[in-house]
Amino acid sequence: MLEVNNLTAGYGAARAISELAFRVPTAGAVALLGRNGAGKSTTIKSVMGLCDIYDGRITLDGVTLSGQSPDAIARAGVGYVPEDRRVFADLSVMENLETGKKAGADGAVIWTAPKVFDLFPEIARRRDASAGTLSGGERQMLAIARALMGNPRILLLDEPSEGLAPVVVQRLGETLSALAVEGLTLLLAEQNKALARRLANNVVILETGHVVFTGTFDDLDRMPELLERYLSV
Amino acid sequence: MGFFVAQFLTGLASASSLFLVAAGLSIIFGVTRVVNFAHGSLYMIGAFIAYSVASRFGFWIAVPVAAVGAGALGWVMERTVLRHLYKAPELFQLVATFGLVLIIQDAALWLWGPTDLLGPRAPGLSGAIHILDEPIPTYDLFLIAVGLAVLGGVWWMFARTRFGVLVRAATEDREMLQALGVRPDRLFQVTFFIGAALAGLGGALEVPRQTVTLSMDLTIIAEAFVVVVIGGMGSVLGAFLAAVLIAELNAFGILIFPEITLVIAFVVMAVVLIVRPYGLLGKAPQGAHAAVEIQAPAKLGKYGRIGGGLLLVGLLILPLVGSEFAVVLMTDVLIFALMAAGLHFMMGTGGLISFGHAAFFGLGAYGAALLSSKLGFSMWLALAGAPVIAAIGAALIGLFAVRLSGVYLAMLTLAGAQILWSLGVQWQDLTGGDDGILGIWPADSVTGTTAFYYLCFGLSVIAIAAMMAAAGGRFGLLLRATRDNAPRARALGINVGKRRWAAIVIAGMAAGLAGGLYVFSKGSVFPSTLAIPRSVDALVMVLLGGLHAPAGPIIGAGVFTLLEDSLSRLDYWRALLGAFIVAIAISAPGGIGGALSNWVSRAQRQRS
Repeated sequence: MLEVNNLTAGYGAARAISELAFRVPTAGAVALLGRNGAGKSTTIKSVMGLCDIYDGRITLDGVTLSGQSPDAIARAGVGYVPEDRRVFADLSVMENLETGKKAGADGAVIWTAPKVFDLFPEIARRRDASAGTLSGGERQMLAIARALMGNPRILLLDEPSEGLAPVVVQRLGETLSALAVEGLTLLLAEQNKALARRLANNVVILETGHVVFTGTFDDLDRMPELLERYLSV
Repeated sequence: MGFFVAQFLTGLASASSLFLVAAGLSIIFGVTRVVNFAHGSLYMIGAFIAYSVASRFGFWIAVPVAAVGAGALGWVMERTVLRHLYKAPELFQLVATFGLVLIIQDAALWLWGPTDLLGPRAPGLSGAIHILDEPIPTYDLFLIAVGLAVLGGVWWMFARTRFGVLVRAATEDREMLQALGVRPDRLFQVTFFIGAALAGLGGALEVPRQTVTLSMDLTIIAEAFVVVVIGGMGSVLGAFLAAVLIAELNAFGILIFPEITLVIAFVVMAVVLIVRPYGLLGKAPQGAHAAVEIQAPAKLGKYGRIGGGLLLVGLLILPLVGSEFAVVLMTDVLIFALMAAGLHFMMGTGGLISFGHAAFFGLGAYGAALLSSKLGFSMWLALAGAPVIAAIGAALIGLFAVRLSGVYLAMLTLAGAQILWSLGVQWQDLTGGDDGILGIWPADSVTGTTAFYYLCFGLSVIAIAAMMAAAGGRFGLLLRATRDNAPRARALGINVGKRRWAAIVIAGMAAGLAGGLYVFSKGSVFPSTLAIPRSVDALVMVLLGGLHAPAGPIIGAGVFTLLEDSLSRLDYWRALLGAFIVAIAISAPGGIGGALSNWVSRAQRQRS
C-alpha cells in the first residue's frame, strides 16, 4: 500500500501541493484527476523523489519513501512513467529497456525483455531502432515497458494518454488494465476521465494543490456538480 | 607527396594524446555535467608517474601504471571535491576545479621538483619506418594505432556494455536514469576513473616525445577544451574528429606560417561555435531546464552605503596615515577592483560567464604600453586609449559570445584570451614576446606613489560607481531579465543579443582601463597579463566578494590581493590558494558579500 500523508511539496520556493493525503491499496488503482496546474504531476514527482518535500510522509508497504533519493525510491519498488515519456532518444529500444533493468525490491525478476515485448509487440518489431524515431504511442509503450523492467510493486503513470490518438489510448488502456488485473498497483495522473475510469476504481480530485474529493467513480457520478466544478473544460 | 604524407602522419600522432585527454574530458562532462579544469593536471600527473616508474621498471610497465594512477587520482578528486559541486552552477565547478589545478601543480612541484624531466624512449619503437621515402618515427605510428584503438575501445564500451548504455543514457537525461533506480554516485565514480585514466594514458604516452614539465597541465587543458567544444561536449567521436582536425591544421599550418600554430585551434573553435553552437556532433542540452533563481536587485543596502562611505574616507586618507608599501598595495587593490567590477557586471548582472577576462585587461595593458612606447603618446592619451582598445576587442569577442551561454561561453572567452596570449608571446616584433615591453612610466604630474594612487583611486571609484549605477538602474534591470529568462525577455521585446553585447563591451572597457593603469603602475607589461591565471584571479575575486553582492568585486579584490600578498611569501602558496578557492566554491557560494548581507538582514529581522 502506498500512503501519502499530509504532503506539502513543490519546487524551490514555489509550493505546488499542500497537505495532501490519500492511499493506494496494494493491487488497487487510484486516479488523480484535476485541471492543468492542479498538482497531479507534482504529486507523482513527490512520490518519485523528484521535487522538494517540505512536510509530510510517503510510505510504500511501511517503508518511508519521502526524503530518499529517486534511485533508492525506484529500488524500493516504484516504477515511473513520466510525462512526455522521457525515453532516451539516442538509445535503441533494447538499450532503453536495459536502463530500466533491475530485480524487484524483493529480489524477484518477473519482467524480462521477451515478456515486455509480448506485452507490446509494436516495439518488439523495432527493438534495434533508436527511440527517437518511435511514434508517440510507441514511445509511451517503451516508457511503460522500461518501467516494468525494474519489476516494480507500484507503477506511477503521469498523463499516459497525453498527445495520443484515441485508438492508441484504447490500446494502452487494454494493456494497463490487464496489468492491473494481474495485481500491479497503479497510481495515475490523467486528464482523460474515460481512461482513468477504465483503470481505477478510486479517484482523488485535486484543485490548486489541495484534495477536494476522494472516493470511487460511482460516488463521483452521484455528484455531477463536482465534475462540473473541478474537471470541466 | 611523401613529404605531405609524413606531415599528415605526424599530425595524426599529435592528435592521439590530445584525443585521449579530450575523450576523457568529454565522457566526464557527458555524465556529470562537470567541466573539469583539472583534467589537464591528470594528464600531467600521468606523465610524471610514467617518468618515475619507467626509470625503475621500464616504459611498458610505466604506461599502464600511469593510467591507473591518474584514474585513481581522478576518483579521489570526484570523492573529495567534485561530488559536492554537482548541483552547483557550472561557474563554481570550473573555478573549484581550477583550485585543484593549483593544488596538483604544487604537489607535483614538491614530488618531482621544478626542473624539466627528459623521459626514456619507448623500447622497441625507437627507429623509423620509411613510407614513400620519408622516415616516419615508429613511435608516431604506434601513437596513431593507440588513438584508433582507444576510439574503438570506447565505442565498444558505449555500444556493447551495460555501463556504456548507462553512460549514454545519463548524457541524455540523468534525472530519468536515476528515477529508474541507477545510482548516480557509482556511475559518476566509474566515469571519473575511466576519464582520468585516459588522460593519464595520454600523458604517459607523451613522455618519449616531449619533456615532462609543470606547465603541461594548462597547455593541454586549453587545447582539450577547444577539441571538446569543437567536437561537441559529450561526444567521443566528435572529440576524435576535432583532435585530428586541429592536429592536421597545425601540422600543415606550420609549413605556411609558423606563428599560426597557437592561434589556429582557437580560430577554428570560434568559427565552429558560430556555425554550430554545440559543436560538430554535439546536441543542445535538453530535458531538465535550468532553475531560474530570482536575485534581489543589485543595490547597496543602508549598511552597505555606510560601509562604502567609510571605505572611501579610509582610502582617501590612507596615504596620510599609511606606509608607502600600504599605498602601493592599495593601488593594486584599486586596479584589480576595477578589473573585477567589469567581470562582476557581465557575470553577476548579465549572467555571462567569462573565463577570459584577462583578454580585456591585457588588451588595455598592451594597448597603453604600445601607444606609449611605439607611438609616443603621453600617459594621459595612452590611458584614454586603453579602454577604447579593450572595448574594441570586447565588441569583437562579444559578436561571437552573445549567441552562447554557460560552459560554451566560458570556453569561447577562454579561447579569445588564449589567442591574444599567444600573440603576446609569439608576435615578438610588436610585443617583445616573453621579454615584454619595459619602461612605461607615468606622466611627471602623477609620478610619485601617492599621486599615482590618487589617480587610480579617482578613476576606479568613478568607473565602479558608474557600473553600480548602471547595474541598479534600467540597463541592469533589462540585463537581468535577459539573464533570468532570455526567451521571455525576447518575447517582451528586449533585444537580448544587444543587451549582452553592451554588457560585454562595458566589462571590457573597465578591465581595459584597469590594464592601462596597471602598466603605468608597474612600468612594464608581460604576456602573463593575458594568461589563464589572470582570468582566474578575476573570477576568484568576483566569487570571493559575492557574485550577486553589489560591493562584491571591491571586497573580493581587496581580500584576494591582500591574501595573495601574504600567502605568496610561503612555499607552496599556490596549493594554499587552490585549497582556499575550492573551499569558497563549495561552502560559501554567496561569497563574503553574500554572507554580510545575510548577516545584516538576519540581524534586522531579529530586531523587528
